[in-house]
Amino acid sequence: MRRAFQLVVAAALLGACGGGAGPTDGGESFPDAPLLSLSSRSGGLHLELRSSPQPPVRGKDAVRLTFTDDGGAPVDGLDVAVQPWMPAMGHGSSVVPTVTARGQGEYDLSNLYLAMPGTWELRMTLSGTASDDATPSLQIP
Amino acid sequence: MYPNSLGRARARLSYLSIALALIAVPLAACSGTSDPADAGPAGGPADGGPANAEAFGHCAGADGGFVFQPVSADACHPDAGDAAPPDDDGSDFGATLYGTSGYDDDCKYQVSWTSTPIRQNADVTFTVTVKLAATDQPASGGTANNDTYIEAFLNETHPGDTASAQTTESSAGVYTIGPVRFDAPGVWTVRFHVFGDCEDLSEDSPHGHAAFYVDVP
Repeated sequence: MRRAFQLVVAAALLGACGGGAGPTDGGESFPDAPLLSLSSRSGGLHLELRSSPQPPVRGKDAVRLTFTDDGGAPVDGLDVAVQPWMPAMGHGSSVVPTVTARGQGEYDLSNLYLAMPGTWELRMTLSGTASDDATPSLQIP
Repeated sequence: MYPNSLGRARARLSYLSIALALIAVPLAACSGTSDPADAGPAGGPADGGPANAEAFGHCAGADGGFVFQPVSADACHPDAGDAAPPDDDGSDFGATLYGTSGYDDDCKYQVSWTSTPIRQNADVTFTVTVKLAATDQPASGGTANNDTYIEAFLNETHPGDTASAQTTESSAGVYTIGPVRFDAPGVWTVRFHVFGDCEDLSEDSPHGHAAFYVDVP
């Protein structure tokens, strides 16, 4: 009984709000297949982009970036700054996405706020272990 | 003191009571089952600013009058080469306004708004009236592909939920936009974009935007 009590208490405290901790705090789920694959401007980094949901939608999205080098090895230690931008409109989003490094070359963007339909660029400035930039484009229906 | 079986039973009951309480308290705190539409006073335009000066002053001319920017439908999608390159620094938004009316960032439109009751986690619908500042005529026709739309954010890393928001034009220049959900209390910014699908490449592009502070209790 005492062990059962301890388990119930632990479950109650851990699962209080049901949000689920885990690697994707917002409950995002990223598919195995990337939405986009591209190279950085210099060609020295290769980037796979997955979104949640995939494909991305108008409103709030999450994105997982996976950086590898020419040999396919994951690239950690990057400082990734991202500016969502609508090139045709000449303006960006009012919200700045938050970037979290996960290791193994993975970086998660949360609070990616794409408020209107159209073509959005994710203008990425990379520093840290590599200095480069990359600009994947997302089509929001 | 007690027979063993009775003591064990009481101990079980005691453990069970504590466990149930530990489950019930967080569940009650997190359930959020009450209807937010019935909960407490509603919010509205945020207090704290010199509404008229902020909202209209940026369009004041040197002579004390206002200087407005006319717009042209031809500038919505100009031919390549006809327009200057877009701003590239992401800083083309003007100051956020207090109150419920003001000129947009580029002095193209007079924008005023009302809303359904503003409460945390409730669906809020905004009614936005847009007039051409230069002529005082309704700015109509901005509903194709929801191109008159709304952004809502508590701060630059905390957006609201506008994913389901749709825009309809109930009468000339009067746009109904919603639902919008504010998931936290505080002073939010709502930014209305007018003719957002028009390229913002030339000064007379119909593309415009105006932002207002909104208090969410």
